[in-house]
Amino acid sequence: MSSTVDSTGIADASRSGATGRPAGPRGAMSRVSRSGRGRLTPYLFVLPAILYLGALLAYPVVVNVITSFQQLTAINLLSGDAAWVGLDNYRAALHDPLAVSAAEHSVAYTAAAVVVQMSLALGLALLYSRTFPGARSLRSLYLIGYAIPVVVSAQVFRWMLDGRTGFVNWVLQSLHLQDSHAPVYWLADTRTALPAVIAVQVWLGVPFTMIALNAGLMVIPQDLYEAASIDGAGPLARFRYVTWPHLRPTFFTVTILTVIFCFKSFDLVWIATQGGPAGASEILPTLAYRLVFQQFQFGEGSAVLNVVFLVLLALSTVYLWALHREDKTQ
Amino acid sequence: MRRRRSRWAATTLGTVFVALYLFPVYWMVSASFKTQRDIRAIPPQLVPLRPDLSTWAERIFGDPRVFHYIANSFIVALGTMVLTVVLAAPAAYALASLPLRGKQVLMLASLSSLMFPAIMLATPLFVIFSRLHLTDSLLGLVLADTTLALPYAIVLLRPMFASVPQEISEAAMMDGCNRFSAFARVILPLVVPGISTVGVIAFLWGWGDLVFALTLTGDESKRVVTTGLWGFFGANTSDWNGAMAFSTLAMIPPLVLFLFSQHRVTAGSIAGAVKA
Repeated sequence: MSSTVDSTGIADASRSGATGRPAGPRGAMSRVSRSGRGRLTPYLFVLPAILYLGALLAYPVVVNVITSFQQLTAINLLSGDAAWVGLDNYRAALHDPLAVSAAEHSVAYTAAAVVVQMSLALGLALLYSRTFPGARSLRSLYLIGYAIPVVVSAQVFRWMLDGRTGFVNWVLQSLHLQDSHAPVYWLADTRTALPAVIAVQVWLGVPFTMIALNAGLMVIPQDLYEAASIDGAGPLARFRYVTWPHLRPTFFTVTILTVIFCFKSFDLVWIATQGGPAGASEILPTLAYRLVFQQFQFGEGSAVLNVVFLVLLALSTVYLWALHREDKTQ
Repeated sequence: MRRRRSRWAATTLGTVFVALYLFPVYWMVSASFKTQRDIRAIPPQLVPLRPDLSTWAERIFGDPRVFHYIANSFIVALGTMVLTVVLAAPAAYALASLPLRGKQVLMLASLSSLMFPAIMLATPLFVIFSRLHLTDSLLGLVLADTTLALPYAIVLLRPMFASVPQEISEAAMMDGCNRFSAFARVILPLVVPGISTVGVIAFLWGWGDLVFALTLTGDESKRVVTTGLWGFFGANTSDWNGAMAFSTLAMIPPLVLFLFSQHRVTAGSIAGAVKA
């Protein structure tokens, strides 16, 4: 990765804060900083973005917290004078068997998708980080899967996983892995719906993860591999003693990001199954959508979303910590 | 000799994997050119044996609603792109190279807002927009989509501004520019690749959004491609020809944009989100 890609900004900000920018030509600097307006100018650059995110990102989060303590319904939505109900919404969610099973599905969905996706992406990243003709172009072709709207991919997989006309069943039947008289309706069967959407989630996530891991692999100095080879290290030993120690920080960061992406996944599950059949693939985001926008239970929906938010907040704290640590080690 | 052979083996393996990975995309496009009967053929036709344009003619070109949805999606995606770049570029520049207090806090806030699920914002935005009469409006969708694209754009753009030597803006200011004109006339042209990457990503975001379109709009006239696809081919569809044709159409604009933008830059920025 080129040195220009420094996504954290944390380390950089602290560096420049400590030493200060090298003073430029004196005339320009003093002319700007002499007046108060000059010192305030930098803030004018960030102000629009801050106001925007304050109004449309931070304020909504506050509204969400408030709503979760209220009895907000379709009737008092516009006036906003909803009764305060304390923790009732959270209690309702905790005692709602649908919410409990959605939470379990969310954990299973995330865990399974992350494990499979990270393994596949690591294998692919190792393959495409080797120098062979066409490696770069082939690697970037995976990004087509990233550029396509999730709604479109989900629609394609709905068909491919269809019981009667789906391609997947045809392959399985051709290989005699499935009885052609007992086709599996992957997304409509309570036993297979969750595993099937997990598989599609992996398909969606692999490009991002692979490209990111690949970037981590590319910065490992090539002479380390040559030295290891001279010492008689085979491919496995080279992976264990050269690749893995260097890749581990990146792998960790990418894993956390993948966990976050999987945990908040909504579009795919909504298009593929709407959480069904009979709640078999209901995860927390689809449950929250159902509560708020189909049953107009804003309070309980917000409570569920706040729980999701807390989990994501904890995860992103780990992510930021990991990025920071990566910065320091480099 | 052995080494060369193993390199070509890697190319073969790499090609096979890409082909397997992209097969669903091919399957979608080819299905849109099959007849109703051929799409159900067993064994499936890997290549449309009787290429047929009737699905495209009837379901896509023959249906004015489709073009209405496409137009709406373009408005939302372009609006998101413009608003995101206009807000993100100056902020990222200031965070990269201007004296500013609280930089770390701002960067932390931007980074952590990458984690926001759209559905988590959809509920409060629906409450707020309902009171402001911004539901059922394309402007509302642009505002909502930008909310999630903006932090990402700032995070991606900041290092690109940081790589522009400080001397350049100082020289411009010696020549009589103020901070704003130095930024607009001198710095900005130097980071056009970065700006276009961020623009592409914001466009993809606006184009592909389902959650906000689903929650903040309901009116037929404000439908976009994603909600249109869902509306036409919802839970109980078996019209796979139509669904695949519409899906193909919905894929084209982001794909074209993606292929013609420097996808290596895009790949680099994806990597940048995880690798310092």
